[in-house]
Amino acid sequence: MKQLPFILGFATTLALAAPAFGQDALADKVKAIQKEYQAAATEYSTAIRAVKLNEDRAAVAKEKMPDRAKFAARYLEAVSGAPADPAAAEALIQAVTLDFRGSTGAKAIALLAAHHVSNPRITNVMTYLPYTGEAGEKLARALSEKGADRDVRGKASMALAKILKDTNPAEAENTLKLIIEKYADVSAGRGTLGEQAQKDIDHAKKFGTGKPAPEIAGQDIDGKDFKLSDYRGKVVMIDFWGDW
Amino acid sequence: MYPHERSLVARMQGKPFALIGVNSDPKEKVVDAIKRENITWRSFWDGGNTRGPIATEWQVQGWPTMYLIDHKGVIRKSYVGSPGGEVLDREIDALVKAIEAGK
Repeated sequence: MKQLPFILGFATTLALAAPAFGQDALADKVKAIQKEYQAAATEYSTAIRAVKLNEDRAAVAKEKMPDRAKFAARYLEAVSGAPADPAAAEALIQAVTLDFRGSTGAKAIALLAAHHVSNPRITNVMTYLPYTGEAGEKLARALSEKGADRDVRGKASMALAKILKDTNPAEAENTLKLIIEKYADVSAGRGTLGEQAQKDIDHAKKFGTGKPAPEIAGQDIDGKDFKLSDYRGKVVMIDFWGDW
Repeated sequence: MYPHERSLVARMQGKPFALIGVNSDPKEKVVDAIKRENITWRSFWDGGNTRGPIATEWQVQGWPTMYLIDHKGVIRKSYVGSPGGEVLDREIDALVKAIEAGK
C-alpha cells in the first residue's frame, strides 16, 4: 500500500530533524517551535496508547491532539521578517507538513516557490503538493523546471502529473511521458519514477478522468447483490474504505 | 472520515447523489464499524482484505481512494487519500448542479 501523506504527516514531522544552522537566531527560533511540537506530539501519542476504549480515545484526541494549524501558523509567523533566509526554508517545510490543506500551508508553499526552489530539502513537501490547490501546482511547476537536481525535478514532475490528472488529463499524460523519457531511473518509493509513470498512464486508460466508470457488480455487507450502474442518473462517490 | 461522510449523506438527502463504499475489512469488523459509526450508506464487501476483486480490478494503490462519477457514469475526479471534506463537498455540489442545469 502506498503511504498516504495525511496518515504520515505526524510521523514525517517528527522525522524531519532540523539541519544545523549554527547560532543563527531564526534557526534557533524554528528549532524551539519544532521541539515544542515534538513534545506535544509525543505527549499525545503516549496518552492515546494508554487508552483502550474508542470513546476514551476520541476524548483524549480532542484534549491532547496538537493543533497542527496553530503550529503551522507559528512557523509562518517566525519567518515573516526574513522568508528568504535559508533557515526559513525549514520552517516553511514544517508549516506545509502540518497544514497542507489549509491557508497557512498554501502561504508557506507560495513562499517556498518564491525563495527556496533550489533548496534540495524541498523534496520533503513534494507528497503534499497534489492536495494544496493552486499554490501546489505553481510550486510543482517551478520545481519541475528549476529544482536543484534530477531527483527533485523528476519527483516534482510526478506531483504535477497528479495535480493535472483531473483538470487537464492530456497535459498530465504528456508530463508522465516526459518523466519516462527523462527521469525513468530516479528511484521513488519501492520502485522508480519510470515504473510509476507507466503505471499511472496505464491506469488512466481505464480509470482516468473522462473515462466511463467500469461496472462494479458485487454484494453488500448483508449479502445482497447490487451494481454501480443501479445509481446511473445520480452523482456517485465511490469510497474504497476500511475501518482502520 | 466518518463525520464528513455522515454529514455529506445527510446534506444530500433527496438530491441525486449516492455514496457507495467498497469495503476491505473482514466481515465482523465492518459490521462492528457500521453499528459503531452509524454508517447508513451502502458498501460492496470486497472479500475481507485490500486484495479483494474490486480493489484489484480498480488497481487501488492506497486507502481511502475516492472516485467522483457524474450522473452519466463518467469518472470526473479521483483521489488517492482524502482531499478533505471541503474539497469533496465543493466538487460533489458542482456535479449535482450540472444535473439540475440539464447538462
